[in-house]
Amino acid sequence: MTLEELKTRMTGLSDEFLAEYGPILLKMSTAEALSLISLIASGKEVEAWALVLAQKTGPDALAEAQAMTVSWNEANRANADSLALQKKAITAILGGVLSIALAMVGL
Amino acid sequence: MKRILLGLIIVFTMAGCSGIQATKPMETVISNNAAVAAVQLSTDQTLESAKQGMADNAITFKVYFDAATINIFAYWFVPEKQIYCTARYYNLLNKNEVASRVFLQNVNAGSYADDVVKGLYAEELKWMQAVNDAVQGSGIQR
Repeated sequence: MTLEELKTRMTGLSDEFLAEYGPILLKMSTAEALSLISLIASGKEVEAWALVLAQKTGPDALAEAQAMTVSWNEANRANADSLALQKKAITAILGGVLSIALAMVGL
Repeated sequence: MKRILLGLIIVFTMAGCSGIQATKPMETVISNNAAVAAVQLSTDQTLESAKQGMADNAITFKVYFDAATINIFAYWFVPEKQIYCTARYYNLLNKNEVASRVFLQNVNAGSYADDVVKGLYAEELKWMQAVNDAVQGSGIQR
């Protein structure tokens, strides 16, 4: 089957999806394709992703690795922002506690 | 006063659940590995050292993921041993573990060109640093 034939058959999938994964799916043996379907059907997304990743042996493998680095960067940026916000909240609360404590001792 | 105390508890709980909270021994391992990764990234790698490094990395990422899995369960019962609080980080560690294993299999099968091997190794080293950044609450972009 060619990519064009796959596109004709899989009308429910986007062109972008088929452009990215179509060539890989076409390279798979029937057994591999069945394994992939089975993994997706049972919600084992990471295992399914591993099967697809194993088929990427050119610069596309590197692109996947770089995309993961980007994901780490995004997670760490969000985490750092969250921590900064929490520090601000803690400072604000401690400021309130200090005001009350000062009032209690008459200062 | 009760309300203030409740607020403090909520804020400190939030702080505890942000990012990755590693146990002390694990934190040391993660920090040491990140330091080694920085050295590796700053020097040109031969193909052989990149391949060996990827074999080592596959083991390390498995250890990280296993530790996260164990401690996610520990989190529910032993709060002070929490390690990975967020699903986002847990999923990233899971993908790191899987990807490093798949990459190594393909390296051993000779499926990648030399420059791809070196490029993949460099990205894995960045993940190694990123795990440490997560533990430290750092937003450094790798």
